[in-house]
Amino acid sequence: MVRVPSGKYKKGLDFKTDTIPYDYWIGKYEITNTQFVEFINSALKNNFIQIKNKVLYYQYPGDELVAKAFYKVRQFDKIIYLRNDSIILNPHFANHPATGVTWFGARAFCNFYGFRLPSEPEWEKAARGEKEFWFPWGNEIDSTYANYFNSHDPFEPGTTPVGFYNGQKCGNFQTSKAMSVYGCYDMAGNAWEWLEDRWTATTPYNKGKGGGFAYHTPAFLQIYYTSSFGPSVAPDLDMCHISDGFRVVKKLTND
Amino acid sequence: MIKYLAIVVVFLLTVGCTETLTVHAGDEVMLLFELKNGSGARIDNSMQPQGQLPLRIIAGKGYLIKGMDKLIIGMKVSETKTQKIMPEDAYGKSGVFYLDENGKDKYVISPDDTLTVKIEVLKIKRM
Repeated sequence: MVRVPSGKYKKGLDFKTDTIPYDYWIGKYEITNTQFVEFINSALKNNFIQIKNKVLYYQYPGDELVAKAFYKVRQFDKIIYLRNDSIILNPHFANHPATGVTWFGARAFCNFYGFRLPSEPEWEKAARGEKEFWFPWGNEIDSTYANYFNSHDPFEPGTTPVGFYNGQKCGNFQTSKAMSVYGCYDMAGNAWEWLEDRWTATTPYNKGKGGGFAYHTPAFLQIYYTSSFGPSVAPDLDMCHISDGFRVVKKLTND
Repeated sequence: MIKYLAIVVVFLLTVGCTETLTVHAGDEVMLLFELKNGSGARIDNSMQPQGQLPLRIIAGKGYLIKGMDKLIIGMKVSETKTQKIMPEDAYGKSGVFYLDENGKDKYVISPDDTLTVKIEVLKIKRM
């Protein structure tokens, strides 16, 4: 994780100055499939999550907008799947971001380990600090910086390993060092990242930022942009979008 | 004579200054959009629960899918255009899908789907 100090940052489309009055840790990388499978196994042992009809469920404790109920964590697929009651991770994707994770799945992971999801201000500050950047590394973008729709990386059309865009070469594919101001990777492209924030005080859908490898082009990868995919298309709160992942946050002081 | 010349100069300057700016490749553009699939279902747009969130792009530089990037060239501020986008200028054979309750692909945009896009230009900034 990287430490983000309290202080000013630029937010939104017009770079207004805002302040976060506390230091916090935020994931340097998106949570990987390896980390997510470790969570699934430990959480199943502790009865923190359950498998019902071959689907993983988490009993969300409920809040002012969402009822206490069982919600999907993540759909089994070709990357993480069930075989003879064991959770199997396709080793090819071990260091790739965990995707297809619902907001409830991300919350379950955070609650299990004592983390939480970033708020929108925490995420934006970690992405560009006080810089008036369009993207976490500056204002330029091309396929050497991030994994997006048709970006022709060696892992197309899927996710890239976390931290792939680090200035190194992978075969013939040269990457640029696409680190954020505070040293976070993949804050533009690869997985969409769930936030703690809801769309509005009366809307039970949560925001996502920093997507996305599958369908989104650079316009949607900008720091200011927040995904509307869920609310406009998906009425199910726990629908598994193939692009959705997350990174975690922890405050330095009592949270 | 000088008086008439001055009128002509003022007229030309006025016409010159009010010439409408149109989007060229390399311009910074703010826009609103709506994208529908071949069945007419809205799959994405700029309307978000807290209001319109414009997209900021550099025109003609791949910030959008090809069909939208082409459509925007030549548009003026406040102009709205609606146009079909062929699959090769959109999501082609891959389509767009999520996983249904059985872990199967459920398409929002079918492979080889023709989309309909509506774009409104809000602002053009020549770089």
